[in-house]
Amino acid sequence: MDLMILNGYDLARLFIGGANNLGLDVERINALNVFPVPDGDTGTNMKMTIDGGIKVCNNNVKNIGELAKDIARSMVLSARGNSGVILSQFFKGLAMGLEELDEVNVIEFAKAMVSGTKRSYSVVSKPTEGTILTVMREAGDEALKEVNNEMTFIEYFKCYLDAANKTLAKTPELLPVLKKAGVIDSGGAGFILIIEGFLKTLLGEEIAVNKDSKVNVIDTSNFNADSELTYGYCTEFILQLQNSKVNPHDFDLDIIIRFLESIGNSIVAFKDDDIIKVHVHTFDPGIVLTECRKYGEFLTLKIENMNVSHSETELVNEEKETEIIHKEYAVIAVANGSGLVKAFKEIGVDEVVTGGQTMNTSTEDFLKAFEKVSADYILVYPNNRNILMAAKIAAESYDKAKVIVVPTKTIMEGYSAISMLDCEGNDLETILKEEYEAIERVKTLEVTYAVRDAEINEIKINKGEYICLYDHELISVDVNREEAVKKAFRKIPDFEEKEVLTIFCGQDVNIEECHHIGKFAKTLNSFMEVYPIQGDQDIYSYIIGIE
Amino acid sequence: MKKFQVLTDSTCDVEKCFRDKVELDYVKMIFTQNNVEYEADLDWTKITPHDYYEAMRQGVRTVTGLTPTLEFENKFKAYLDKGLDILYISCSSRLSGTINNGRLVAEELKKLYPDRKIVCFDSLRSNYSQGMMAMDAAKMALQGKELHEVLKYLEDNCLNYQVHGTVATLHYLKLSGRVTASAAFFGNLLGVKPIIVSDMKGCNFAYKKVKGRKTSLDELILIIKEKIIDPQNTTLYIEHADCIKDAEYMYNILKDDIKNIHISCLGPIIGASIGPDAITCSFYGKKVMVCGEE
Repeated sequence: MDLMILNGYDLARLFIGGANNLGLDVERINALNVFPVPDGDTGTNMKMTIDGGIKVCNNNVKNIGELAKDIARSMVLSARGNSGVILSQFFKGLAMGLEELDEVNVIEFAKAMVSGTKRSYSVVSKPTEGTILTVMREAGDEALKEVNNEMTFIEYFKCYLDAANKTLAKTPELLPVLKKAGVIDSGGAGFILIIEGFLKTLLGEEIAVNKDSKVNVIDTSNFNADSELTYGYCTEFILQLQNSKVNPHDFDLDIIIRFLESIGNSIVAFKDDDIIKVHVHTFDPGIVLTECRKYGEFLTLKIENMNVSHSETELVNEEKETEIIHKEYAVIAVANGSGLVKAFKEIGVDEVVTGGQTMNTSTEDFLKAFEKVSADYILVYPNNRNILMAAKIAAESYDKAKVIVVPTKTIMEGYSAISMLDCEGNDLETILKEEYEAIERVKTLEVTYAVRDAEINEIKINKGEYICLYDHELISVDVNREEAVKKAFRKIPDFEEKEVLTIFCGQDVNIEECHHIGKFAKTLNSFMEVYPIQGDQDIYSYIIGIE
Repeated sequence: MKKFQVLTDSTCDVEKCFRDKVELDYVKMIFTQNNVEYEADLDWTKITPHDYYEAMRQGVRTVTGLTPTLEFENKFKAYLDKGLDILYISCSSRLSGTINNGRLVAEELKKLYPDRKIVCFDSLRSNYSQGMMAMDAAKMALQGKELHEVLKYLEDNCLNYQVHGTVATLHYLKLSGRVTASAAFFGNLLGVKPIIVSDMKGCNFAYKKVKGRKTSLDELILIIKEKIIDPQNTTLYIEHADCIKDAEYMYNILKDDIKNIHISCLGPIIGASIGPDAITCSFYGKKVMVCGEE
């Protein structure tokens, strides 16, 4: 259905096509999201925002100016997240450009698209280039330059999309955080999907409606009593300004923006008549609410811990085969147990191969892991002496990268060495030298129970008693697990000179006991820093790194 | 006869006794803790360093702010009215935008005082390293040197004023974002301590990591010994964020090698972005040649 003139009915069809086209790819957009905080919700937020506009598209409004206004108003109220707010403001600006018009030609429409861009820029307190803003600006400007009376809407949108895609491709150059993550801007990509939906509708393509509206299950498992809040809270609300508190029409939004700037970042705030919509990332949402209630009451309110949603992204990434980014160095480690796997991923391991004490990793397992990364050098940490050989054979038979086995014999050696790994700016020789030093420095204390009576190093052990092995040598025994560990600490000759205690807690221990152990260590050595980690490993109640 | 006044700002950390000696003055930045806004005065008159850093340890968010333009205006005017030109030595522009406010005010005041000089110099440093630079400049001003001479000296020698440091946790660096380091540096690295240097461009660059607090202090000691010039005739300034024991640990090892070692408390502005239990060491040494950005 190529058109020279667009009315309200047409815009409604285009808009629904745009929304559905975005709906098809929400997950991909979520996965791209690394700016400003990698909370993996850009796609979802944009979709929820645009869906607000769909509601009014079925109202049979012929006047394009009126429909655009209804869409914008509706989207403003449903806007979620940074890019959602920007998107809603784009449509608000578009509506401003179409105001009072029954129908428009392509030139008028192109101008309204640019008005959308301007409106979007105006509500972001510190616009960042390399984002959805840049995409809409450059595409809008470029298409406006090309547009003429003879152009059809199909030609216009093709031209707009061409420019938008070119800009999107260069967003990593404009925004370093994207380049580091090896992705393009998520908001920009989402925006292009919408415009693409417009074009597909004009070309008569069917766009399926993505019906599997996923229930958003929030995984809070990796934010526990010991977690640190590093990203703050994503705080969003719509504030109805109250006559009893301020003069809603003359209220100066800058008052709120200035306040927000003093307590947070990623600020998007705008005023629509007597309603204010705010999005801010802050560590103290409480004071935001108190402050803003001075001017009105909340229509809606949403506060999310961004560390929690961040972790969701990580989980999604694990399951999904994302495009592999080539690196100079990739790191592969062997570990078993969900907690250990997570701990290794958190310190930057690219692939964790499962295996260990009771289930030795095979050469084939390693080769499969090598295939999953793309790097000039692959560093492999077997973390168990029984697996060393398999790793070495795999390393020798792999030819797509130079594979180096760092001969870590325990989980703790691997964990410590990887935490000290510093690849940037160093050559391989220096890196390996530092890794060997790290391995040399860390001692491992393993705590487990005796499966039978025995006598080792003249110490008598009864079945079921807890035993501590210090670098594989028996050092203490006790029926009480906590006592066994304390005894071991006392016996370690240079315990007073050590500085860092990393404790992986096994499946069978509670964190409480681990804290007792940590406290006791500090009584022996006040310099000691203690870091408990839920390792969830089997067999060993504790694996303790002492360095 | 003094021809110009040297001013610096809150990140210089120079205590009153040293400031008075060379007639050094400063403009105050601001910080907010527990919803109370404070002027970052270098003599801790409103809040003790212990209370300040202890609050941070308890998780109280502490936010810092630029020197307000009004503060600049008042200070600049006071000295211009006394007939003195002004040399303002600022905190590194990579750490604070305060110098921009200074420049704005200087620009404005030039209309009122058309024949006078107000020079804003970006020290590329913070802490006592910036403070030493300001003290040296103030000393030269007292000796009657010309402003342009002192400016030339600063331009030539600025990179010799060094500051190195380490922190107890990466948490505050991550929050403040005022440090350059690779992404891997900021993984969840337990027990890892960064060694940080104020680099050629004035960025705080975390260029090395070590395991354990004592190891990080020992590493700083090695760096100081290697970089310091003329240790028998110079002063090393150790600043601590409420962890005097660690400063004393370093003092005891270094006291035989370096003639003067001065221990003081890390000021609130830099303290807010590197956190409690941080240690910094400032001294005059070989030129800094590292740079965190490619």
